[in-house]
Amino acid sequence: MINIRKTRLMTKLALYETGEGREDIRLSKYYKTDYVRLHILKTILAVTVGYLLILLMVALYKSEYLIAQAVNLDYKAIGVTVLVIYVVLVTVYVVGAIIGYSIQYDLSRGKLTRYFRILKIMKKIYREEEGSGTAAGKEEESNG
Amino acid sequence: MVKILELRSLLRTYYQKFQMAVDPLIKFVAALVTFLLINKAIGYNEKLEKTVVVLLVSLLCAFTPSSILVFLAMAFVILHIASASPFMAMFVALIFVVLYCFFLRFAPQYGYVVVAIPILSTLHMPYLVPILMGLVANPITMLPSACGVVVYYMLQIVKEHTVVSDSFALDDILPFYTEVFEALLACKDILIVSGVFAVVIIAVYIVRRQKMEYAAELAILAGAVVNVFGFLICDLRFGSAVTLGSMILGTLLSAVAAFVALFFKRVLDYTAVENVQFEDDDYYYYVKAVPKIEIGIAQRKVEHINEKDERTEEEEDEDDYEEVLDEETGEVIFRPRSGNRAGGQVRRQKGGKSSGYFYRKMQEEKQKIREEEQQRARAEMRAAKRYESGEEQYLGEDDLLRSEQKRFYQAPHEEGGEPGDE
Repeated sequence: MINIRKTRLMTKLALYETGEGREDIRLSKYYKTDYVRLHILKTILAVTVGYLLILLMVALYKSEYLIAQAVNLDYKAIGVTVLVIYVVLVTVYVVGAIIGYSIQYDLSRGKLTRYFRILKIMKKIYREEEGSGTAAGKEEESNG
Repeated sequence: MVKILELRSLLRTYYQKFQMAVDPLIKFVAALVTFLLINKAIGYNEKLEKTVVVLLVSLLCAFTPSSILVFLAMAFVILHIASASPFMAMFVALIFVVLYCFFLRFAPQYGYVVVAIPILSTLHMPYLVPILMGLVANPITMLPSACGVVVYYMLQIVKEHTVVSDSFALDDILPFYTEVFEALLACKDILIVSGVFAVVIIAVYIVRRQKMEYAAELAILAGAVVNVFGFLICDLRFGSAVTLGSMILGTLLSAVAAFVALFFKRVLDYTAVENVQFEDDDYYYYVKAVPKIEIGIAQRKVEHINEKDERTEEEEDEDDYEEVLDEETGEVIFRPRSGNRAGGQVRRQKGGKSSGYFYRKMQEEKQKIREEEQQRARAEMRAAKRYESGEEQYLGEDDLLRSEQKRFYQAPHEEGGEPGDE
């Protein structure tokens, strides 16, 4: 016979797993530090790619000047400026990523606690079912 | 008021009924409008302008996540520009990648904002986006909204400067590219609009989070005021190209649209029917989960029993509807005090109770249920802790378990009778 309470709990679990919980469950595989570190790496990579593309576009925009002044250019000063801007940009994004992804991780943990609580109740129900199943079997044997 | 409540419950009912069709239909219309507007704005490619293509792509967007719509809209833009000037298309594609790297990848779920801002700009109400985002999302939406602003102004500039040319020779493309790049750098409005939108999103978000009555409504007003003043200040200080008259009118329209959106959000939030599938050892379950809806309770004023007699007639009139318990369905229904008075009287004669009686009764019942739930949750937590600490062998004798077992296995016995009775 269908256990109504179990069905209700399983529905709640399934709703969470297919909805917002999908991302939370994926996050639960990581430790917080690992998760934040992974996203810092991804952020640095994305910022680097974006910055290189901007540099490419600026270089193309200034290409006439760059070609004309190729010999006279102060490459050291340009290099330092480009590097300083890059470092500042990466620092801002990394700090933002640390804060943002930490908050995201903590929020997902909060939601997962409820999910695990329902899982524990499910476990208990299964144990009860097993217990009552064996007890009923024994009763039948003794009646028979 | 009653009309609105009736409309609300009607909308909920119909939404739950036709949810399967309504959701894709809304997405289809949104996608159709997006692609038609892109075609109208930069329709260089005749193949993409064909109705069949637009309809097919919109149909695809109706059944896929919103990120697909964003991707396809960007692809449409690039393909259109590529028909006129492949080099310009490359430039636009590069800008899209930069925008993704710097902004969009942090909030990919809000990608539709990037599409919404240029589209609403054609209707002179892009101000709706920051107000709505502050209302329903969080401040991270500043990033996609900045992206949307950049995309809008970039498309304007590209449209102005694009000349038909399929040349890749540096001599041909360089002056043209320099012109576009300079126009993009000189466009102060990108920074001004992005900045004001960011401030509006934060203002709306902060007011919305306040624990006070009508926080959401006040947040919309705050957003509209901040928007108007933000643009006025920027106009005086930096001289933006935003037309003030159209901005103020657009903000007012956006605020009205935000109120309408808020109404629908309250009506349709958490009312979506969910279909889930799962299985256990014995069964496959196909469950349709229909959320319970509490009619209007959240908007009711709290009625103090002791102060009831002191209420003047004027105060009584302020409540233009009363709540009555429908004895057949067990639901609380609302009935106008002035309009359908006869029905209300009949019901009061039956029960002989005052109009607040059922409401109070229901609140008491709710309180009882809440207390019971809390007790149960505490007991479950205790049991779980004991289980975690390795005392599970004693769990079987726990009071909670015994009561739980009783509750679960008594019901079938009661229905079918005790096995021993026969």
